[in-house]
Amino acid sequence: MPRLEWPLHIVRRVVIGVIVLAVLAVAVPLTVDWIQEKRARCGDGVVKMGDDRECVGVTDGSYVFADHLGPVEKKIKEENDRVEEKGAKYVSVAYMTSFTLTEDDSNSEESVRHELEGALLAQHRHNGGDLSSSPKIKLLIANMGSSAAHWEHTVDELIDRKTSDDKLVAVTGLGPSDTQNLDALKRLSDNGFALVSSTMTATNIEGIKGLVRVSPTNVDEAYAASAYLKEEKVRRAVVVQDDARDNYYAKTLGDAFTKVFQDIEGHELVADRMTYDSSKESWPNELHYMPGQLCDQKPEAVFFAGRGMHLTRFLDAIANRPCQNREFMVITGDDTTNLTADDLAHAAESRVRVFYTGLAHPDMWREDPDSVSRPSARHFQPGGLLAEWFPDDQHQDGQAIMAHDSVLTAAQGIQMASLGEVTGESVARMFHQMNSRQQVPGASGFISFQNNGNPRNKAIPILHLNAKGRSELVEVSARRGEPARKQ
Amino acid sequence: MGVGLRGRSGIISLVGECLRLEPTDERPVIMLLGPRGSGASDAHGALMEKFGPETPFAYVNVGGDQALLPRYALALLARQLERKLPRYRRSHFPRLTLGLLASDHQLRMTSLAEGRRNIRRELDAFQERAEARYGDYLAAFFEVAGGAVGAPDGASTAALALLRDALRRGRRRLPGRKFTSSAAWYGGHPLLRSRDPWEALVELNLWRHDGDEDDQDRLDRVLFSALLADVRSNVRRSFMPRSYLLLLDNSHTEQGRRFLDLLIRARHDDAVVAGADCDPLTVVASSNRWLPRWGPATGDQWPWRLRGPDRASLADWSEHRPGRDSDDTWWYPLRLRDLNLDEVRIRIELELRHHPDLAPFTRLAPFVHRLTAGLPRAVSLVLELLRHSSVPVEDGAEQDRWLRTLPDRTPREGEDSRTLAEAALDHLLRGFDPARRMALEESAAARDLSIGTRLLGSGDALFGEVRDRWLLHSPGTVTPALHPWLRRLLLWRLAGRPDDWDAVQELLAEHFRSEGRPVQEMYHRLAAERIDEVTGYLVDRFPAVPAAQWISEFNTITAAPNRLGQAGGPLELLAGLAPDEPPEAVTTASVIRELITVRWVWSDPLADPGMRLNDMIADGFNQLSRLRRNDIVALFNEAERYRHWRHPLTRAGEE
Repeated sequence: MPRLEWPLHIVRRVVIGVIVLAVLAVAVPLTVDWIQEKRARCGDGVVKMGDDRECVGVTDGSYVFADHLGPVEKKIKEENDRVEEKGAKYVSVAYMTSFTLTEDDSNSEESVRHELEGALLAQHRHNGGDLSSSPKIKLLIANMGSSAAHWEHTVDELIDRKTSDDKLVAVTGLGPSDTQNLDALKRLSDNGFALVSSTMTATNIEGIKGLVRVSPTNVDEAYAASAYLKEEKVRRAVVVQDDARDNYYAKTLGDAFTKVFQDIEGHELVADRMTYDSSKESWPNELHYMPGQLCDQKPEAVFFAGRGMHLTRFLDAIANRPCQNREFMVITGDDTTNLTADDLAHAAESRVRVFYTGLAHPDMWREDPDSVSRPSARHFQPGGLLAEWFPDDQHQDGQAIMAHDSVLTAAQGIQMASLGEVTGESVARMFHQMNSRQQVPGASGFISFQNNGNPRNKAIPILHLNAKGRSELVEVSARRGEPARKQ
Repeated sequence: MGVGLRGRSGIISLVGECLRLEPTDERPVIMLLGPRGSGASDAHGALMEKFGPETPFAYVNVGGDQALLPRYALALLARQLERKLPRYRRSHFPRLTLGLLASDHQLRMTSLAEGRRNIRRELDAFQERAEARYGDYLAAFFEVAGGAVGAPDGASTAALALLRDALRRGRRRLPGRKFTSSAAWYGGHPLLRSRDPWEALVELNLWRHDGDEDDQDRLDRVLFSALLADVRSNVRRSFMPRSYLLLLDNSHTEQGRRFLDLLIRARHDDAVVAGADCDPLTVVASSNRWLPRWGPATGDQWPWRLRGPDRASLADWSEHRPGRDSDDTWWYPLRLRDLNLDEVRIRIELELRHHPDLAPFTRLAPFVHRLTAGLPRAVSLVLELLRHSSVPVEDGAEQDRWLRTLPDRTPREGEDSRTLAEAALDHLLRGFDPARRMALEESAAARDLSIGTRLLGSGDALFGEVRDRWLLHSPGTVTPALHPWLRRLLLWRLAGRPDDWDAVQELLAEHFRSEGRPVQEMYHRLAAERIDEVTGYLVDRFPAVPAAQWISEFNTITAAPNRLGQAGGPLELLAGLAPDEPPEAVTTASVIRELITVRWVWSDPLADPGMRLNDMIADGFNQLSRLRRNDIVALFNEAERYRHWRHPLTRAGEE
């Protein structure tokens, strides 16, 4: 080996320098990452993302996504801690939706809070309440951020928890029906989770492996609305529909109603569909000119196939109709439940009779005791557990019920799968075994599933917007008029 | 460049070349030869200062009062070479150390077999004891031989700091690391009978404690061989120097000569006889004597001719070195030369940095050079005297008078009461008893020392001793003259004995008269102040010989020494030499007589330090040219030479 003659002290300095640089090269990025992570970290599993630095990710309740969620998250955390402390066998169920909301979101803070409260109720009932069974479940809260913008991060977090101590097997919630949520669903499905949607009604969301939904589809709602009108002897109706290209909700509602209303002789649509295009700025004008036509056509009822926010403008226009002496009713879909109490009160001022199909309503049990599970419904009544836990909250919007039923579905699937290994796939398989006596005793109705994941003949409440802007249950309907009953 | 390097640049560049050679290349043993005070120690200091910061070096003065056994010298060298330098790894000397250790204390044993069994344990225990006491084993040698590592005379502060650093930075070994691990090397050494390493070490021990002179010699040879094996092994590794610098001062002493003998022999055995790689030592040794191993001091039987230091180089060494079969091939003898006028001047200017009080004396450089002939230590002595004395700083008659008695002045009041002449003579003639010194004073009267010593009965031994000590000014020339500085001092002393002075000059004059060498005769007549006789001779010669020859004879005669009175400047001295009756007219004789006296005084730097008589000599030659009909150009030129005097660069004076 040739002898080296470089100055040793220089060589040493260079070697030390290289080592220092190498250490720095490793340490600096790590430190920067650590600092960034520290700065980006909101809590365990929750990080700041996006321009608004909103906190997204997954928590067991230890991190509070928004102040108004504080009480319910606290109770979820307590319930989760109890599960861990008991040392009993457990798996986790996540409730995922957008919990940090802005004006861009169609959901309101009130509705997502209600969802979480319903989910908590289902967890509580499964772990130690009236439906106590094993294995226990931990409820994880997964926030995708406003407009589900950070669904990828949140879904990655959920995937990580599949193999962690949390043993996540099912993801529930999963609304509303938009592209981001659909992508999230597909990703979760690919990773083998059991999925239970609480409020997704879009008809095209079906056939995703492992996914079931506890809410009726748009088509079901249109059918239920038609059934109700016929029952009320309404013979002449007209369809007002949003013609915006991507408003699939409006299209499916309009198409289904048009098809089903005229299927019996004596019931007719007195005119072609009256349309407006909400994707164009002129849509308020279009709505403004519709009342004149309605006066001419003289329908008894108007089926409004559009979003709740357009409904209020439509009702404003109708209130100023030329034929003030002529009365007619407006019936629409469940998007109305996303309107705030103020919006509903404003709509009530139009003095037009407004009906809509909802997803659930606490009074369904009283109206039609066989169409919903009594023990489940009881918890949503005055004096029930929800009223006890959250006395200041009203739960007329049915969101709490739908969330409860989705978590309850997942819990029942877990309990049914526990004879073998409880995994996402095994739980998802159980969804298709929930027939007859294995129906899910939901507070929104007894739930069993078709092969495409949609509920079978799900009960649909027909709601009336009263003069105070509150929704009153008129009757419980279903796609075929009669909802599923207790088996 | 420090003061010590002035005039030694050839040596510096030669050592630099040696240090840069590949580790296995052959290097000379550079011998710096010259009389005491010729600057060898300065050169050691300069080399230390120049190469010490970057190269492992060791300095050992083997000329100290303390006898330095080769083993001690080796230990001191190795200890200094172990110094850790930033650009290199630390050097190790495990073989040498083990050899020293094994031959240190007498081993307790009743048989070789028992010794073999015990030696490792005993050596380890001994090492541990030494390390516990001194920090490392080699450091223990400072206890017995530390005096040999003192700094060389005149070493600069920087060189002193380096040397202190080399001595101080010992190291404590890691516990458990024993020198005995290098025992295997001894098992294969050709000088040792035993092939077994441990038996070989026992053999070393027996040589040291029970052996005869031959055994001791063999032991030393093995130890030198171990040193060379260690340095060879060191330089084979990475981050090690290519060479080590070994500085041996005063290596003419018995122990120094022995050290060199052993070193040369070990190198020759390894590199030539055994055909191994040459060791990487760059050795610079200084000697004030001719070494007996080189044959007679005439140098006739030594293949080397002394080389001058100015053109010293490896190429010069390779060109002139004898064949490799002879161990003379390793020498590179460099005869240190005296400083020339410019070097003296620069030296004074360099000294000014440290001693600004020398400033008024910078113009005295020609005087100092004429007086000392550029012998470095003499220059230093004179400068030191000027610095510490109350010499008049104004150039003029008063300063001339003060300088007239310079040799009788005491360099340092209080510390050393010896005069300059005594101190310088004591240094140059160290070891001469008073009788021989007195004999030398008388012999010095002759320009040719061999004639002086023969005529004055001190014999060839004195001449040989002087020649051995490099005290002859021009070794190898026709006239073996003493070094001018030494001769001047000796004659200064002889002048203090007027009767002896006159007797010696008379004896020499008579000798040359009988030999038929009138010029030499007149030289001594003039020294005896017989001006009229000399005038008569030169007046007769003036019309008889060509002007150039006359000038040559005139110059030779008037270079004679004098014992003129010590008081007075050149003009006062001249006044004392004037004829009793001044001539009434300008004649050839009167002109020549005056010219003789003027040049005689002028020739003595102590009589005319400022060469104030130049114009008078020029006038004398002018007058002489007018008194001659033909062949006057030489005289005219001579007048011009003195009128526009330019001091010769190397020669100290006119003869």
